[in-house]
Amino acid sequence: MTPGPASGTAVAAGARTVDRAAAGDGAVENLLELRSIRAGYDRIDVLFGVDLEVPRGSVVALLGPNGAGKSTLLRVAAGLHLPSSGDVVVAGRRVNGVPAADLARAGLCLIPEGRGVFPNLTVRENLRMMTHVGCGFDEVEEEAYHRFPRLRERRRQTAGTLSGGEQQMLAMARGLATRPALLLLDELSMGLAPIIVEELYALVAQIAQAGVSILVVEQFAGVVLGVADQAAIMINGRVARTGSPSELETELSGAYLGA
Amino acid sequence: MYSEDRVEEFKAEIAALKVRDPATGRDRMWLGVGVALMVIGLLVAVAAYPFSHGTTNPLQQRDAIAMALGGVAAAVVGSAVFLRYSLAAFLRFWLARQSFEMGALTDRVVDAVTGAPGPATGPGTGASDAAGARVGSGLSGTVGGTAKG
Repeated sequence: MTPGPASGTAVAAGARTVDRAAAGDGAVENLLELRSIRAGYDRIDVLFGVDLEVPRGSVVALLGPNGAGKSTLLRVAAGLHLPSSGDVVVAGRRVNGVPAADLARAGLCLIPEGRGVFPNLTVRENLRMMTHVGCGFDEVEEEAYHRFPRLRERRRQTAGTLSGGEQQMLAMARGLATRPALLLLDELSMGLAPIIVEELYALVAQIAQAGVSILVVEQFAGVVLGVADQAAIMINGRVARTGSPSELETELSGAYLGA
Repeated sequence: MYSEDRVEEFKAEIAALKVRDPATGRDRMWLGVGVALMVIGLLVAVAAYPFSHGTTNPLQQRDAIAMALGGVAAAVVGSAVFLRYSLAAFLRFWLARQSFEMGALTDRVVDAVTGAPGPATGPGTGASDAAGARVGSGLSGTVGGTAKG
């Protein structure tokens, strides 16, 4: 019997931490910094001064109950939503107001919640859409099918007719085709069977091991804490607690239930 | 190593980005300017009539004509500005709506063909968010994702 992906990913997270420690990184460089971010929709404020950092090469898990502002924070980080105040700093540069397309082209990749695919296009057509970043279609296809062999079998199938897990794989394949340096993942697990979720997070661990910095938002903490180096709990538009996954694991239920 | 090179490349690309002045309400401001020009232009044009009518001095009457023409021109320019920014807002909404409806239609067809109940993340609120994400990030075409905080 093979070990579950969750256990494997936990080991992967540990290995990355050890690598960095061995490298003797004194001051860890942050690839993404959100400083005192306030944002909302029209007159309704959603984020109230959020501070968050994603160090280079690490996986940060942002956890919290529904409506905490996690997805809005990701949209702010990706340049899709302008904060009303605060700074979005990417690779050491303040990028408030930079179009999301420019950030995406540079290598900041957001995989939004809810299966980010064009449902009425085939798998191949969905992948072809990603050639706009400058890489060839063959390259995009090869990378996608290498990571997700199941997509090769489904390549002529309309994306809307794929299973939830396959659609999420396609969404990830499309995102990864851009060779991201900073990956933002929003609710990978949404609506998926636990076994598929574990499979996807095993892949996230692999991507992280290749050195991609990842900020992953999840409502359900169990599987994501296995791959994360750091975690933060967000409640009512504020980061209530940050720490190592092991530290936060015990506090999660209390935080969710408002204890 | 891939990741090291990629991160350095990423940093260089971010450093080369042109950062525009973030102007959240720029469209709204121009809409306001358009409306103001329309109203002021109209008022000036109307006010020119009694100004011209109340005098027999041809110089003053010519001033009134110039004033009226200026008012009409301002109203025309204001209408154009208003039309441009209100159309942009409408078309953005229309695009988001089209994306949402296309997604909803596909889901219905899939449900009808497979006989399965709709997906857990079926079309709901937040269509414009989802469409915005798709256009902005250039990553995905999700429609009908549930808007969440």
